[in-house]
Amino acid sequence: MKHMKHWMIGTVTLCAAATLALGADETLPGQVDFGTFSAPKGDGEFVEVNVPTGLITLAARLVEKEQPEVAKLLSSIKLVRVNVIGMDAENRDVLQKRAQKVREDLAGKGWERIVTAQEKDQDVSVYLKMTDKVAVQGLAAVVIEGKEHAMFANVVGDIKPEQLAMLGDKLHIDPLKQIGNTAQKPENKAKDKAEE
Amino acid sequence: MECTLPMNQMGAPPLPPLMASNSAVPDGRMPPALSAAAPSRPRFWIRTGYVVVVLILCLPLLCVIGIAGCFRLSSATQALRNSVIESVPGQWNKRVAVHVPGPALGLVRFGSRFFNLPPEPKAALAALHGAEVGVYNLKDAPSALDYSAMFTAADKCMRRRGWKRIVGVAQGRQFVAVYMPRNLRTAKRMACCVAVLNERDLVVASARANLEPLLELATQRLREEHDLSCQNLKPKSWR
Repeated sequence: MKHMKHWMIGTVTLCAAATLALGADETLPGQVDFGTFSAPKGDGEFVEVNVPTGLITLAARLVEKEQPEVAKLLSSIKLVRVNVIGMDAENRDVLQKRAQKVREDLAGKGWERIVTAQEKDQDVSVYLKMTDKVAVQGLAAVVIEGKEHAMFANVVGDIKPEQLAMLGDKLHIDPLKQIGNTAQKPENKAKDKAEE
Repeated sequence: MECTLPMNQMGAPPLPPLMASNSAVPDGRMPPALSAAAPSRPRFWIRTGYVVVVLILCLPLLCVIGIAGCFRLSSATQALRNSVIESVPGQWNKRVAVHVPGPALGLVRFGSRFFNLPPEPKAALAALHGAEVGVYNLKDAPSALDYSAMFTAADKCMRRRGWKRIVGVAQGRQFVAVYMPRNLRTAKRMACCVAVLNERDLVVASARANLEPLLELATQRLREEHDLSCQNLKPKSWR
């Protein structure tokens, strides 16, 4: 009976550990799977950045004293992923089709398209995934810059739109401010104005 | 009046009653309990002596192993180096490989306490817990590089060791891959492994650190700069 108990405890512990290990790679809400990108064979550039929570938390600690609002925003971010791929004759079609597929997938999964810009050779789309409590779970951007570059970016977290707008205002990043303002609900904007 | 002690048959004075009653040999020889206890002390010292001798003999060997270890990279760094080298065909020559382990840095940290170092090097020494670097040179430049294959191979071997790529850059003849442990939770146990390939030169490096001292110093410096800039903005009459 004693041996049975030890075996049961050991089995349960192993199962729990396996579950935790599997759960570690689960997709977060707000996370977009762009797929894997291959580096272009010629001289085209390839940049892939995957910043995990630990590093973001470090950055938040660094600016906590001087800019607490920025630190608060950084603390609410869980993952940042950016891919920049140089386009050449071999991969241009593939990348354009991939961008189109990502846009369709995001629209189909309930992501809100808040920025669409097509000027000259640039094609920019920005999507937001919101929770019921009006927090931004994810931000995804797909940019095709002429025939030179394709950019895919995804920010995952629990971000309040007013934090985005504030950050855009402080850092003088108008597109970010615009995203934050667009994402805020009208009643919340009115509430903020009344408080001011 | 002559006073004499009574003697037994051996000519020795009789044992006191307690010792006499405990002894198995009534003729005055040492009882077996006492005789058994006496040799155990020398046995203990003999064993300790053997251990000390073995340690003294092994000390040069340990020193050799320690010194040899300073020219050998850790397994993760070696794996990253091997994955890049195997992905780039050609003859590779080793220029240098140096590994400074944690205990050696601990000794340096201990020794630095006796000197009045400026805060930046002091924080850097306090933060660094181990570092290594290897530099390799390719004899002939390769004609074309498959960066995707290089990233895939490096990611596979590092993932097996619990590392995840956080930055990957490739352009022209330059390749950079930066890895950090998957279970990165705290600034106290940071680790990083980097591979940089530029034309025919490959540098692989890794470091382990506790970033708390550096974070504190950086925060302090930022605060000082912020206070200084606020003071400069104030009119002279207010200062």
